[in-house]
Amino acid sequence: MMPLVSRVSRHIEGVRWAQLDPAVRARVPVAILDLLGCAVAGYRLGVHQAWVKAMVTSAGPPESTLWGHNIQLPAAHAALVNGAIAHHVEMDDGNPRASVHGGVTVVPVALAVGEVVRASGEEVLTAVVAGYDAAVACGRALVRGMTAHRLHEPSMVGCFGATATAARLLGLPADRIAAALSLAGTLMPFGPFEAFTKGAPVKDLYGGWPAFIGVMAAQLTKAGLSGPTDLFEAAADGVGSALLHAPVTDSADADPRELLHVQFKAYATCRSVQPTLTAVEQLLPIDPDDVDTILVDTYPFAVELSRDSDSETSVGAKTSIPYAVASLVLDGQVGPEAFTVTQVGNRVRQALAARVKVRSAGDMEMPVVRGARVTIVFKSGIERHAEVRATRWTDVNPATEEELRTKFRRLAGEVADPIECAVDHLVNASDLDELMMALKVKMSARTI
Amino acid sequence: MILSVVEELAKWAYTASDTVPPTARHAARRLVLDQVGIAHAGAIFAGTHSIQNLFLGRAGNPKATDWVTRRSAYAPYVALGNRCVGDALELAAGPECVASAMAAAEVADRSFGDLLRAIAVAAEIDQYVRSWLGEGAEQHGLHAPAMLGTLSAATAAGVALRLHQDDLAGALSGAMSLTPCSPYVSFSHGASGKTLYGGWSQMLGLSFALWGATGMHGPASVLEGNRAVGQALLDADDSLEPPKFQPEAWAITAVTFKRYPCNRACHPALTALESIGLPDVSSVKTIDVFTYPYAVALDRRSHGLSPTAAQMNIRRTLALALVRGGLDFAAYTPEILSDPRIADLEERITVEVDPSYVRSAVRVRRARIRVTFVNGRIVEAESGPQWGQDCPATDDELYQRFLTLTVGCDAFNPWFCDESTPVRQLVGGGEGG
Repeated sequence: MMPLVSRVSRHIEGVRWAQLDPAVRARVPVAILDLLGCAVAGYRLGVHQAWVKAMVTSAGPPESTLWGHNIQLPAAHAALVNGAIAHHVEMDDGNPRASVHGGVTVVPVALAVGEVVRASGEEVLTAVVAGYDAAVACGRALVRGMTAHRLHEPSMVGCFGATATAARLLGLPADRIAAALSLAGTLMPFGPFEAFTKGAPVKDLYGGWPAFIGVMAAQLTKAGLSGPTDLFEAAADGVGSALLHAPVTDSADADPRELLHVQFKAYATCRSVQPTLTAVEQLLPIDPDDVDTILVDTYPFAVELSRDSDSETSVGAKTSIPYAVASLVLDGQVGPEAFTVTQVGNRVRQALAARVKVRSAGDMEMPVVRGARVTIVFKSGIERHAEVRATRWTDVNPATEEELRTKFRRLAGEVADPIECAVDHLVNASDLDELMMALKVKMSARTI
Repeated sequence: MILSVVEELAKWAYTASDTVPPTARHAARRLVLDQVGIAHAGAIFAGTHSIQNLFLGRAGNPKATDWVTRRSAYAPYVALGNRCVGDALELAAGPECVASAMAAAEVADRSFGDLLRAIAVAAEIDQYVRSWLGEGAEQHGLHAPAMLGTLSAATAAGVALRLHQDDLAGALSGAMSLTPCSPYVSFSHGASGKTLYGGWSQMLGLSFALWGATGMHGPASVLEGNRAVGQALLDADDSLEPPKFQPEAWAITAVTFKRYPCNRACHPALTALESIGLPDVSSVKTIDVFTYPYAVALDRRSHGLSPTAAQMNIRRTLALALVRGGLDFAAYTPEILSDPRIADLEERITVEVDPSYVRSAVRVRRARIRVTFVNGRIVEAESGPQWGQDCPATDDELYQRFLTLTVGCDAFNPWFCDESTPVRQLVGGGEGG
């Protein structure tokens, strides 16, 4: 069988906008909007100000727009920062087939490189599709091993999607795309999950760094470097051996309809928390003063992550089931604002979280079922129950386009309209100028 | 308060640079000398690296100086380029830290003595993490020096920048969170991207050192936590009990240099072969090599005919040395390797594990060879690697090699540099950052 990177690269080279499934074509702008909404929310929160300032100071050739700023950075740096800030709010999309966050690595790269090469809107949209397809095709081959090693899958295989997108926009032929994909695979971050559960700021770079690698790998490949063709299949020392303790022998081809499997997030948390939130939402409104205990039974992986999480950090709290449940009960929603430094230090919120008890439910083991059972025990002795076998906005009840646009507008606030308009015009746009104009707008008083 | 591993390492590194003895500083000087020489020879042998072509001369701050061209660029990319440009020669030794430390020292306008201290400190930390997790990385088919070298690269850069110990710990943890997987397949299958391995770690380490005061840090438990690097590499079920960090003898003084332009796995057999005087090719019937298990594993993994793959192939390397009458740093080219005499001889060389090298808990880097001549005579020899721990390279040998590697180059010379000299002045980088 032809090596996986060769098959994926042929697919990437061959993607044609006009030949895509109409449902996929319709999904692309919505996926871009969803990611841009996350980015705007991150910039509005003003996270990582000192780091962003350092990246701006490092400057370099002005190639691509730093969103929320009227500043341009080298394409790889713009993709890095925009991806990291977008990832911070933990609402970017994912594909459970490969445990990949496609949007956060693909979209910043598509816009950064598209700006450099002055790609048309259609070319950018097509490159986005190629990126989603590549990330999942490569990710599916490794996901089992990444999970077994307790690594953060999206931070690792995101670089394949980012590379595919960049390589496509740079016009690399199939053999060079393969070289770029395999080069990216060798530079792929090891991505320990510890950064997420312990709430380290570098977790946000789990969104941005793969984007950085993608741009760099494509540029370096164009300049002559190559990765190993048998990256996945090498008998003793490929990434399959590293993560699966065996070479990859049964990889599937890229799926041109992969975007239709993408799942969007209704809550600003790790996916592991979301079944529980979906169940609790069925019981709203709840007066927190009346609550004695909230019992949660959910799948073991989610329980373990929650147990390990540092819920007193903005990042770590997003894997904490008790903290997220408390936020939902108190706020009626779980958006980015629930995880600010101020909020995670809020004693009322943490006190309610302390009354949430989380247990493993063996009948909800992923990947078959990512569900949750919730029992709210009120001080009066009354109990209320809810059970879900799937998360809101997953395959069972996917988000509608209107729901996603509403999410975008909520996250993007007052800068939403011009961005939404530009994204909707993208398919007929000769370049990215209109969208970049919309994205250069100052998004926060704390913008540099 | 119990410190995490990176916190403990950073705490030690923060103060240890003031205690680096002359012997360790001298050992660091040897390392700098060798790396600078390798970079220049690499540029002659393989031309400027893609990284340098992409980034040199472009804007960006803080800046550092490319050793070969003396052009400046964004410091992390300079560190990447300076390490990568000579990688194809496969001569680089020691912890991944010289390029990142040098760039950081330029950025912060430190002296050459500061640079040497930073490197010595980083070598200590490299030795600790490699002895703990190196075998785990190897067993996963990963290139341990590149994957774990991020820690020494960040340490050296952070010490050169004089980061506070908390910021240094943050830089170490951040860099290790994104450390590259570095599968060995790039080497064994001869991909040119292998030349990025050492440099990428140094670019990453320096980046996080430069971001040290921005709050962009990783988890304190990035090495020993139950979802951390160590747990993954050692396939542990839960968090790890890390070995105690006990810096004692300055590991930098034990760094061994590479006499030959190939993977260390080939060195003992090559040394043994040279010890019998590199016989004429036409007189050799067969060569049987018995060496340590990891060397045999690497030899068997070597795949394809590329120069990079040949550099870890014991059979091809011995054949190349015999056909060429020795191994100079320009030996591994496609043209030379295509000599049919090499393929013919390679067919008559076997490589097996010598059981006597398996018994020790510590890797025994030795090889025994048996050469059978066409006339029926049999000659045997046994050796560790030339310039190995038993007979380390002398100062004179290293300096002569530096002169050889830089012949015809306008290279700066670290050998006689006074420790008070600013690194910027040494590399001719002007105002730097």
